[in-house]
This record gives sequence, C-alpha cells and structure tokens, in this order.
Amino acid sequence: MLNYTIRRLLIAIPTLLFISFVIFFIVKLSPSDPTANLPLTIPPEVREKIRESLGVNQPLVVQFYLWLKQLMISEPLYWSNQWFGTNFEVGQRIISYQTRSPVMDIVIQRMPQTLIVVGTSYIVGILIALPIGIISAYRQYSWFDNAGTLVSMIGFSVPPFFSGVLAIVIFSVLLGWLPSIYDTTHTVTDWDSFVVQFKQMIMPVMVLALQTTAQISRFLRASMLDNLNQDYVRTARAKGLKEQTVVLVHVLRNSLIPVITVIALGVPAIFGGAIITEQVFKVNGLGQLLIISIQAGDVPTVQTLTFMFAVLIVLFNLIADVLYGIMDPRIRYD
Amino acid sequence: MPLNLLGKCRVNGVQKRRVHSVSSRNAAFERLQCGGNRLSRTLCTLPSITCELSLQLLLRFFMQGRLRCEIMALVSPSMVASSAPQPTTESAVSGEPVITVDNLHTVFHTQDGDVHAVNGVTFSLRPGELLGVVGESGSGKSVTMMSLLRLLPMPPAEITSGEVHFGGQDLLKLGTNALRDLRGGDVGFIFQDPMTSLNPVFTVGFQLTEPLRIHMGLSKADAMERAVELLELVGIPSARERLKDFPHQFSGGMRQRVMIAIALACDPKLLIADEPTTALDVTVQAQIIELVKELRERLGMAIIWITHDLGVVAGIADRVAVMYGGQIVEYAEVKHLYDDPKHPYTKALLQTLPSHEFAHGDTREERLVSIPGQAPNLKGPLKACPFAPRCEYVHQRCLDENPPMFDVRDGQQSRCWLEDQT
Repeated sequence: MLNYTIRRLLIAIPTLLFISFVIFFIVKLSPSDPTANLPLTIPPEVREKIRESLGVNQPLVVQFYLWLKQLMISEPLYWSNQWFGTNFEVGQRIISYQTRSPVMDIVIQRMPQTLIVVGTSYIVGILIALPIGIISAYRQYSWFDNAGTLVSMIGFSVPPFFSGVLAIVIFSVLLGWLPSIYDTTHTVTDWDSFVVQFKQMIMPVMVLALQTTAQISRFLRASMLDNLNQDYVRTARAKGLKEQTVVLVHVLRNSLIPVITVIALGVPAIFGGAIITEQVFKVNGLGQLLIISIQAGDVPTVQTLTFMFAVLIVLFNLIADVLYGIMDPRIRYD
Repeated sequence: MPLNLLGKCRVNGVQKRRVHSVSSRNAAFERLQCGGNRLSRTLCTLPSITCELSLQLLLRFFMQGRLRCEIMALVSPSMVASSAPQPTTESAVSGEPVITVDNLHTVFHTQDGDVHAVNGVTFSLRPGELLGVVGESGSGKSVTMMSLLRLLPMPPAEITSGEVHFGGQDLLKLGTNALRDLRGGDVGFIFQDPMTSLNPVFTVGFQLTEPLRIHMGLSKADAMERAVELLELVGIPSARERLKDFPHQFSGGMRQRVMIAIALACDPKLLIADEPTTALDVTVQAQIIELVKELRERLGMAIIWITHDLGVVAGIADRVAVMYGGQIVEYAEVKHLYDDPKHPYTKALLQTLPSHEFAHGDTREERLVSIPGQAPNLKGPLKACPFAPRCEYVHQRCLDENPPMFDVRDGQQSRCWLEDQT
C-alpha cells in the first residue's frame, strides 16, 4: 500500500506539470487585458507601461516559466518562512492583477468562508443521505423510498441558482426568518452571535446539502440494494442476527465501499467552493473569487486557483483509491 | 480384508445389483482392469462402491481411460453408507422426532398472481437422521426448508398454512425474537455457494464468533477459543491463524468448511444443508460429504440435505424425499428408493443417471436420458397431479385430482394414483 501510494504520488508530478501547462495556455487563449478594468482616464502609454511591468508582453513560454517558478519555488519558500521561521530568499510571488497583492494571501483569506459554508453543507448532506439511502433501500418502493426518490430528483434537477433564490424569496422576503446575505465579517463570540451565524448559514448550507444528499443517497441506495440480495445476507440472517445487525453491520459495511469513494472524490469540490451558490448568498469564498477573477481578466489568480483545484483532485483521487483498498480487503495494490 | 465392489446396472430397464468380491486392493485393481466394460458400466450406473477403494485409485483408472465414467463415479468412494447393508443407521436413528412438518403451504405473491411453491409438505426427522431432499430446480426443495424458519423474504412469500413442530413449539406461530434464537442456535444452515455465502469484508473469525456471542453469550475471548475448536473440527489446518483471514483467502472447499463450522457453532439439533456441494468440484464435494457424515456421527444432529444429485443422496441419506411441484411425491428409505422406486417421477429421475457404454472400439456413445417436458407452472393451487403432463403412466384420474400420499410399504410412501389399492 505504501509503495503504491508513493508510486502514485510520483506519477502525480508529471500529471500536474501537464495540467499546469494546459491551464496556463487555455487561460492565455482568452483575449483579456489586465488594464481593461482600470479607469478610462489612464492614458494608453501608461497602460502599456503597466502591461510591460506585469510581463504580459513577453513570449508565452517565458510567461509560463515565470509563473511556474513563482508557483513552485517562490510560494513554497515564502510559506516556509512564514510557518517554519526559515530565512529563504523569496523571489517574486504570484501577484493578482486586480488587487496587486499576492494571490495566495487572498486565497488564505477566502478559504475559511468557503470551508465553513461548503464544508458544513457537505457534511450535513452526507449525514442526511446515509439514513435516507439505508431506509430507501431496505424499504424499497415504500412511501419513504418514493419520497426519497422525489427529493433526490429535485436535488439533481433543480440548480442552486434557482433553489437558492427560491429559498431567499420564501424565508427572507416572505417570512423574514433568515438573512438573505451571508455576512463574512460576523464573528462568533457568544450565544447570540452564534445564533446569528447559524441563521445565516442555514440557507446556503441547505441549498448545497440538497445536491449532496441527492447524489449520495441515490448512490448508497443502489449499493445497499445490490448487497441486500447477496447470499451473505441470508447467511447472516440464518445465524440468528438481529435485522439491525444484518443491515447496519453486514450490508452497510459492504455498501459503503463505493460510497466512500464517491464522498472522497467530492471533497475537492468543497475547496473549489460553490461558485453559483456563493454568488447567490454573497459568500465571498473561493468560488466567488474565481468568478470575479475571470470577469476581471485576472489571469494569475485564475491560473493559480485552477491549478490548486487540480492538485486537490489528483490528491483526492489517490485518497479515494487508498480508502477503497482499506475498506475492501479483497483489493490489493501490490 | 475382503472388499465388495457393489454396483447396479440396468438390464432392460430393470435395476440389478451386482457384487464383486475381491480380497485386496490389488485384486480390486485387477478386477476393475479386466472387468472392462461390464464393471465400468456397473460403476457408472449407480456409483456406490462399498469398499475403501480410495479416490486416488478411481482417479487413476479414470486417468488411464479404463474407467470411462464421468465425474459421478469419482464421488462414489464417499458413498459408502447406504447402498451396502448397513444395520447401524437405523438403530442410531431413534427417539422423538426433532422436527415435524405438517402440511406446509408456502405461496409467493407476485405481480402475475400467486405462485404456490410449497403445496402440503409433511415429513419428520428423528435425532441423527439424515433426510435427503431431491428434485429438479423449482420443485420447492429450498423454499420448503427456508419456510421452516421463515427465512424467506416476506412479502412476497407467505406461509399460508401448516405446522412445524420443533422443540415443543410451533415455529410458524413463534415470535420473531424466539425464532431468531433458533436460527444459528438449534438450527444450523449451510448454503449452496460458499464463494458468496460469507461476507467478504469481515474476517472468518468475526463471522464465526457472531453466533457464539449472541446465542451462547460467550465473551469475545471465549468465542475465539470456541471458534478455533470449530475450525479444527471441520478440518481447517492452523485454525488460530486462519481466524484472522478474510473469506477470499480461503479456497472454495475451505470456505464451505467455514460455513459448516458456523452452522455447527452452537451445537444445533438440526442442520439444514441447501445444496452444500453443488458449487464445489467433485473431489472437494467428496471431502465435504465425508466431513458431514463424520460430524453427524460425532455430534448426532439430524440433517436435511437438499440436493439434486441422486448419487450424493445414495451415499449419505437414511431417507429420501423426492419433491415435485412443491410436494413430496415419494418418501422412502434410501435402499427402497433405489431398489424399488414407486412414483413414476422417481423412476424417471433414476433413469436420467448418466450411463456410458463402449460401442465401437474406442468411440464412446453417450446417451443422456432426460425427462421430457418442463417443470410445472405453479401458479394457482394444484388441481391435478403436477407430474401428469410428463408421466408415461398418466390416466384420466391424474388429470382430475391431485393424488394423496399412499403407503406402499413400511416407511415408503408415494403420491401416485397407481398406488391406490382401494
């Protein structure tokens, strides 16, 4: 298993290099001008100077090399200085066109909002999905299963820009129970501020959780149904085990194998942020950062964020495979 | 030690028994060598060699091409018990019945209507007795036995009537908890396919100790000790280490041994084996059959052995229930069943046993006999004899009403109008 993991990590290096290359050139293909968002009063020759200073006039290969150097060398050295107190000579870090500040600093600022909202929604979604999946499969075609199917259909087919707005209309506008905007400056200090935080999280979390629940519960249901008909379930019953034990130990343990993989593969999406939902509820997380960077033609930010997602996806693919090997004793990676 | 090579061959459709006495293993070898056609035919027709003729010996013949019989015969060394005169089994089998099944009916409610899978099955088993249940696919063998402890998925299955007496209780009226205590406790189960009957993600030790902990209330450590004993009992070497292994680390035969160990975990009074050797290859089959026979002698439980292999039944059963269309059509002691089958279906079944003959020189002609027609459609209750459409003795009465069980002789019953003496 360790050998396998190391091998996979080594293979990941050329993969990620290739991905960074593709990301860089695709983003560069779009005709964007880093000075386009600047005030119209700035004369063209000044704009030209700005472009020159940002390095966008240099050949693409040189730009790619510089970006890669910043990403792979400058940034790690900088964070090493920050976290471990080392004294490396740090070169030019990746600078956002928009804010003129290092991209990674912005990412670090935005990360908590995304993790709190999207991460919570993922956990909530999974926790709701597990019982739904189990009961739906155990009582297939019962009213509960049918209701679960309906909810999943809604979760799959209704996009968050609709369900999110609908939730705002109902709970903020009509009923006035919940705030429609997520206030990221709010800090939790006591019970009352916790209640405020809780209330503003409900809608974005539930809108996102609906999608997670729909996906995971369907997956678990299908997997449970596969396993409920297996011979070993009959054996377990013939041993005199309680129905609870049969379903929650024997069947569930087997059914979770593919589901855990799906859950692990979904984790990178948390860091990616829910681009649309964050827009709807004005959560200034990573997803929103990506959107405004794209709109502003902030090439370094888009590239860096996209590359970060690529790293996470490669990493969690590996984690999913390793988990599969741990969950299923029949899988051997050697 | 004199050896008896016993076999039967069919001459003009009549069963004849032949005994070849030989004085030693070598002589047996020679006898088989020179016996040529006749003996190989004898062996194949009904594989029952009542001697300690080892599997290796038979295998050798088989490899040398002297014994032109199929796999059937290779199982035969294990089938020592019944065809030979064996007075022991009957004396061993005595006492109050362990289980009495009376007029059991099971129906499956499907979208296309009710399927009457079990139509009035009645039998009983005494301690230490081995009942072989034979019949083709869909004859209701498994459903009957699963019904006893209500292991069928309900719905769609429903046990509509009948009584199952076990340990002074009617199992069909028993509450779920009491019933659960019996499953894996007083009644053990072995299933057909050991490849899929064990949970792949738990260790053998965990699966084996589960019934011990719930039924006998053993602690984890005690259960592990008992599990080691059980694995040793069923002949798994280095038992203690193997408890930590997962099912996929065992071979098919070893997994079936584990299944048997699980079934025997709490000293059951009754063991229900649902085609336990069907999924195994012949040599392993023979080992498992040997094992069960040995365990029965040691532990003295009653066994219901479901199979569609008449050869296996001949080897191990005391009594045989032949099932067709969800009912027992013939119920007899094993020697009577093979010597003198009464029901036309039983006769037809025995005809289908493969026999091989040498025709011209080396070319072998195979004639596999089959029963024409198809297994009955069990939708709706039985109104006529279900075997009538395939029966060569069919007459009007068979189509008008379903026959009851008729006593043919002591301990032999046949569900056929031909036996109606009145």
